[in-house]
Order: sequence, then C-alpha cells, then structure tokens
Amino acid sequence: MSDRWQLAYASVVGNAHLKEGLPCQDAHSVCIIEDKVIAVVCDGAGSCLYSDIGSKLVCNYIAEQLTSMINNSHLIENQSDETWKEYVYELIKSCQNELMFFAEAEKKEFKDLSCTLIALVASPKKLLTFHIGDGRGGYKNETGEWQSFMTPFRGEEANETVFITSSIWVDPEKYIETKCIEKDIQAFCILSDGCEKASFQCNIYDETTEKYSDPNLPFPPFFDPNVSALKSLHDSETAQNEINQLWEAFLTNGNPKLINETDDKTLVLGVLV
Amino acid sequence: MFKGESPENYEQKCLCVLVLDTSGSMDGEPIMELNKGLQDFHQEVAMDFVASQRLEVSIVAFNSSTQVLREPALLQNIEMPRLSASGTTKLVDAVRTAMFKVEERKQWYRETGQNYYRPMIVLITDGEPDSDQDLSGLSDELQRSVAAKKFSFYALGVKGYNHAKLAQICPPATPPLPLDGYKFSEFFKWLSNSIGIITKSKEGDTLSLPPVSGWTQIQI
Repeated sequence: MSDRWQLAYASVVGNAHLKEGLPCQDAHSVCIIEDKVIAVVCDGAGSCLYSDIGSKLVCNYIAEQLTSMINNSHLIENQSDETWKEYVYELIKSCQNELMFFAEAEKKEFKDLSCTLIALVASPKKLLTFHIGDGRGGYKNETGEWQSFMTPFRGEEANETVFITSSIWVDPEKYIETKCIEKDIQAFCILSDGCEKASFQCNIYDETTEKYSDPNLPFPPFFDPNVSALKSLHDSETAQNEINQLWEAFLTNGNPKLINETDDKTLVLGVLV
Repeated sequence: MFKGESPENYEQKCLCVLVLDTSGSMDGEPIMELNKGLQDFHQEVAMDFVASQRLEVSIVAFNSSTQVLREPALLQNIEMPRLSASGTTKLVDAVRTAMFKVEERKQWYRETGQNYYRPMIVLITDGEPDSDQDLSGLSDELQRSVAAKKFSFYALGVKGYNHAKLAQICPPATPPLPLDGYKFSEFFKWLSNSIGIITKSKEGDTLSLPPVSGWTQIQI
C-alpha cells in the first residue's frame, strides 16, 4: 500500500442561500504532512448572523492545531481512545476561547459564530476523528468496505443539532464524539449535511417493515467512481486547484440530488495513491 | 470526470394542519376566495421541489361540527377540497382536533423512524366561537403546547372576526393576524414561502420568515 494522499475538496453555496443572498456558511481546511492528512469541515448555523465567519475561524484554528500536533510529535501512532479524547477536549476548549476572544474583539455575540465541526487525522494505518453536531464522515477499509466513523447529532426535530458554541460541557460524552480507529484505510470522506442525501444512505425506506431508518453508510456507487477518478487525476499529474475546480463542478451539478440540494455543500475526499 | 450515483433517501417531513372556518358567515365571496387560495397554495408548493417533498398538509373544516377533510399527506397526493359555508362556529373543537392530528402524526413519524420539523397549525376564521366553546381551556392548552415546542400556531382573522377572543387563544409571540379584505391567495403565497424557509432551515428557533405584507392589514 502506498503512503501518499491525494485530496479533492470544495465548499459550494446552496441554492436557497443563493436565492436569499446569504454567504456560503460551510468551510473546510486540509493539510498533508508526509503520510498523514488533516481534514476539517464546519457548517455554520443557518440562523446565526456570522456563522460563515465562525465556521472559517473554527476550521482554520482546528487545522492549525492538529498540524502543529503532528509536526511536534509525530505521535499519532501512539494515540489511544483515552489520550485522543483528552487531547480533543482540550483542543475544543481552546477553540471556544479563541471564538470568545474574537467575538469580544469584534463586538459580536459568541453564539452568532455557531457552527458544527468534523475533524480527522489519517495515516495509512490509523484514523483519529472527532465531531460536534451533524454532517457525515466515513472511510474505506482494507477490504474495500465503506464505513462511517461518526453518528450525526440530531435533536427531536429534523433541523436541530448542536454547535461548538452550545452547552456541550454539561454532557461531553453525548455531544462530542471521538474515535481512534486502528485500521489500514484506502480512502476517507468528510461532508457537511448538505451533501449527505447525495452520498450517504441516511433515510432509507424498508418496504417489508414499512419503516424508515438511517443506515449511516457511505454509498459505494457514489464514492467508488470518484475514488477512481481522483486516482487517475493524480496519475495524470493534474494540479490540485484544477482537481478542486472539477470537484466543485461535480458538487454543484453532478447528479439530480446534488442539483436539487438547497443547503451549502462541502465534501472532502481523500485517497491513498 | 467525477461522477457518482445517489442513494434513494427520503425527505424529512413538515406537517401543516389548516383549520378552516366554514360557518354561514363565510358564505359568498369569502369562501370563494378561500377556495381559490387553497388551489394557489397547492400550485405554489408544487413549484418548490424541496417543499413539495417535505410538506404534509391536513385540512380540518368547522361549522356546526368538525370535519377532517384531508388526512396528513404530501400535497402531490391530495386534491384541495371545494369548501362550502353554512352553520355555526365550533372553533375550539376544531383546533383540538388539529392538535390531536399533530400528535397522531408525530407519533407515526417516530414509529416509522422519520425525521420531522416542528408542525404548524394555521387557523382561519371570520367569526367568534359558539358560546358553548371552552375558549380559556383551549387557550391554556395551546400556550403550554407552543411553549413546549410541540407545534407552532398561527391564526388569521377574516373581516368581521372577534380580535379579542382570537387573541385570547393565541400564544403571545404569534398574535392573530388580520387578513386584508379576502386576500387569501396572498396569505397562502406567504405561507408557502414560509414553509419553504422552514423546510430548508437548520436549527429552527430564530427563523427569519418573509415579511407579513400584501395580505394583512397594517395596524397603526
């Protein structure tokens, strides 16, 4: 197995946001360091005034901190469930502090910066992840199966979730999910909920039981062709910004589900090449 | 270059129960305009791809009795009724029926594993409830339910309605809205826009709904 990563990443503003003149409230940040990759996706709360700023701030801050962790220690191989969770809690606290400083300096409300957060550090043999709120994340294991690494948080109503600015410390186990996955992986994906209907099995109807369920599984007919496409773009030495432009076009109008989506769409796809 | 098929995912649901006054005083122009408004509503929603997949409508009509004219369903699966007007105003019974429909549907959503937005009940009336109707009992129950976020409640008053009595049952945050003339079509256009916004919203607490204009009277 190779130890080089190829990524495709883009955030696309949703139809509904376009219509109402709202900015894209999604943000993403990625970084490749030798055989490791960092990817962060944030989705700003639709009802909050400056959530587009909040999601960019959080994305960049988390990516910077994870980068310096890797640069300083190269120790992701040594992380266990416990040490990773401890690290993540500290990281989230410091990120909340950054947001509070920013809010104070800019005379904005902390809650106006609300966003969800999904982050991942991947090496060919290990996956460290955490998230607050909704969105989806998954990976392709050594046998070629796609699995999810997180369960999106949902309240009673379909449009309820939690954000990094919510009261998450009253029950961190409930609101912050951390995972340390010791597996050989071939590919991973992280996405905001605007991409979930197009790429994940997340609201499936079973005719025999007449019930709906959320299998929470990356849909192979969606991801596998794109993994192959990304590999061949890599083989033909296509520049990263060109790859991202193609990716952005795909997320905008790649298939009917993507075309009809009203929410902002962000998807980071990473493949070992 | 990039391509991928999407799975068959279903949309989360947003229930709207319309509670419509068909008492005798609505006869003539009001009921004609209301019928036209319902048809326009049907068309507006059909043009909004996402809302048409998410919005379920139920229709409760009331005069001397209460009738559930349409059980909750996507608009593409129902035709709007042709209402006619006669009889008195059993308003409280009708709102209670709507509240029951909301609970019943939510229960079904939960049993079948479906996600849903907060349901809404929209009452349209031109009169005042019959004297045997328990207005204060309904008022208490409505306020409690709305505070507990079980559903949201809106009331539209048509020419001749009793504002004080309607205000008594409405939650303080959503007082009754007076309809200008018989501009039902404008009201339903606003409602379909609002539903479009709700069904595309994330955490629903502070939604900015379209301005109330074009169909309501401005109070000076």
